[in-house]
Amino acid sequence: MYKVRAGTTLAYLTPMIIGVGLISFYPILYNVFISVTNQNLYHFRHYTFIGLTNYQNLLKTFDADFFIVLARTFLFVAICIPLFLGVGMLAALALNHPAVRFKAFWRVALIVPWAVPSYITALVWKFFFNGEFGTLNQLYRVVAGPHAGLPWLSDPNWAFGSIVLANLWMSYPFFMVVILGALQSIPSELYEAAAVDGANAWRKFWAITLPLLRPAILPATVLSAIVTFNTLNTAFLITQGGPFVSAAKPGATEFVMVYAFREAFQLFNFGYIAAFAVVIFVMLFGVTLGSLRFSGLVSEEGR
Amino acid sequence: MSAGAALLAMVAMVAAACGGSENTPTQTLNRSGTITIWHGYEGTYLDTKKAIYDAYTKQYPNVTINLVHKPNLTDAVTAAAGAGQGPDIVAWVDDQIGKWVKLEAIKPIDAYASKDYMNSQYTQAAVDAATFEGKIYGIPEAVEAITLLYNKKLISADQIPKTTDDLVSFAKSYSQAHAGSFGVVWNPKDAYFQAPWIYGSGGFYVKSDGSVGLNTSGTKAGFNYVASFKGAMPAGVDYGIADTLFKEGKAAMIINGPWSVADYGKAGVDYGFATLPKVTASGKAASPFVGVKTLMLGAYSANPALAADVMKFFSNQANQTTMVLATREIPANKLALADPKVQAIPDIAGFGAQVKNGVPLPNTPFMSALWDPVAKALEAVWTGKQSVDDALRDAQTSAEKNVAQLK
Repeated sequence: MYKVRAGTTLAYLTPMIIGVGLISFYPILYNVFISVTNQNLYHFRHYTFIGLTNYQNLLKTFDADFFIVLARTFLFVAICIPLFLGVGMLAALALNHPAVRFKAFWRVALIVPWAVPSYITALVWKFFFNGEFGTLNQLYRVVAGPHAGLPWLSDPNWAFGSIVLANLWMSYPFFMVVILGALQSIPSELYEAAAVDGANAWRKFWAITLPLLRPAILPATVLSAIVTFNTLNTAFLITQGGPFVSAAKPGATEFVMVYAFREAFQLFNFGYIAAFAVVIFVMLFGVTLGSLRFSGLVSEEGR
Repeated sequence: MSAGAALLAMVAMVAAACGGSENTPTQTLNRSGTITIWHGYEGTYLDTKKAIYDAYTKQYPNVTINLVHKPNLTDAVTAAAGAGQGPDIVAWVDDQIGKWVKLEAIKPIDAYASKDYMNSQYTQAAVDAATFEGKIYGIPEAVEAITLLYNKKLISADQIPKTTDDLVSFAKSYSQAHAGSFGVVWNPKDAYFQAPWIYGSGGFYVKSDGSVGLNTSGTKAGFNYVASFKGAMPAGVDYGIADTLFKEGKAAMIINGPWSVADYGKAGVDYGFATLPKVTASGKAASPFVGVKTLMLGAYSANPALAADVMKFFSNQANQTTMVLATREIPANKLALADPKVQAIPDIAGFGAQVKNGVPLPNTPFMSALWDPVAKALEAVWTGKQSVDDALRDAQTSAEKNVAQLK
């Protein structure tokens, strides 16, 4: 076997190590460091080490508010991901179907929502949802009469659904692209053999397409679940976390990151919110590891 | 020499340098160097203000003034302070002063502008706004408050309600008489815009010691008054909708600030100024927040004496007079304000009359703990999710919790 000196290996790796270190590890370590200090409005430049006090305070305030926010965020992820997957899959299957013409055009058209910066998409949807002047209610008034209107953003449950809808628009192209790529790598001989055996389209999908898509779909799902869990832009720009039914309760779309953003940048409690971020990080990391192990991807790669 | 020792030596040198210069303030001012100003000026405001700075650099050619427009100025100042950096001058509204002092983003200017100087040049409200915990942090520039504007094509001056009770009954009868139009509009879900009713009713948000006044009878009265406009304004009304309705002639009156009137003129609205009505129950005038645009001294300014000189030049009588004749802002400089040419501008007379009834926009850092709970309580009341009593009880709890975190 060809031998390489350790020094040479290290030299080749150095640029990457520096890049990853600066972009990934330094912010994480800095965040962990801030979480054990008292950095806040009154100790901004001259903060001191206070050990685990922030974590203790966090446990104390792990009250109803935080659990409502957390549960709502998990619900948001649980609703969003199957929708992303379903719509992305349908779009990919349609694009992959031999009967569809102008494939290149459709592929670009369907990827557009993904390419537009998310804050622009969010603000466009905010306008669509506007109760008085929004596009959706204007269309609705055509069928339901001049004084009708759906409470897109003013009712807590509707607002939750509206954010899901806007998020679906922004996220399904990712799944579509991933699934389309995987579909095109499935050998057509498998389908031909199945056809010879008398399988219908439905049976082919369940027995061939889906099992062969699994390795592509699972990591995409885990990635997307993390991104969705960390949703800030969409919710903050469209509803600011609202609608609010009381000043003492989190808003209907106040997901974990919206909650953290409000706490950190309105109250300047940096040490505390850094501790909060560490806890969220540990939770997400655990969920990710668990789901990868469950799906068998980690152990397969380890072999 | 190790890095640590080198750093120590540098710190000692800087400390020595600072100690030396602070004993000899303005006498030996050498007018040379670069002054960086972060601001949020746009349009006419920017052109007019830039002309004043240009006049300064023309007079003192060794001075360079960099005007930097920061779209997210408050965040930028906070972030820069965290890194131990920042401009020489921050041009912003005084409500950030308390927070920025605590964040060490700005520093006192007392060594270059005495209390006597301030009192001789600027209105009392403006001096108070620039002062925090007994120290002066900047030179005031212009004063702003919201007032009642009306569309002269829709109503005449004698129709303008004089009391809050009259205002609500006018709003209701107007929208009944003119379908799709409204008597008066403003954003009913924002803490800043409700201050006239709350402070006019004897309520308050927060005091400089951190005591929260949401669960008081005055604040409740203010909230009840806002809620009485349900049905007389569009249900989904917010700042943008109110603004659009007034521009399109679908609202006879609007409550808004000096920044809005130029656009109303452009939209072809023939607008007039009125003062906010007297609060019927308390007999006091409705009291909007009075904000003061201030040039603040950056904490990391290397040349504070020069920066202070630029600020004082900017806000002197002659320059303020020229400035407000173009921008129609209310000058903080009282000598400029007294000028008959300035008094003849309708915008200045109109907003100026309202400023007299106003209360200072709190510059305590605790105010940042109040905006959010008050806005949520207003939303809960406006959308009918909570009664005024419940909403304010919850908001009081939430605000007190926030204030405690800031202490």
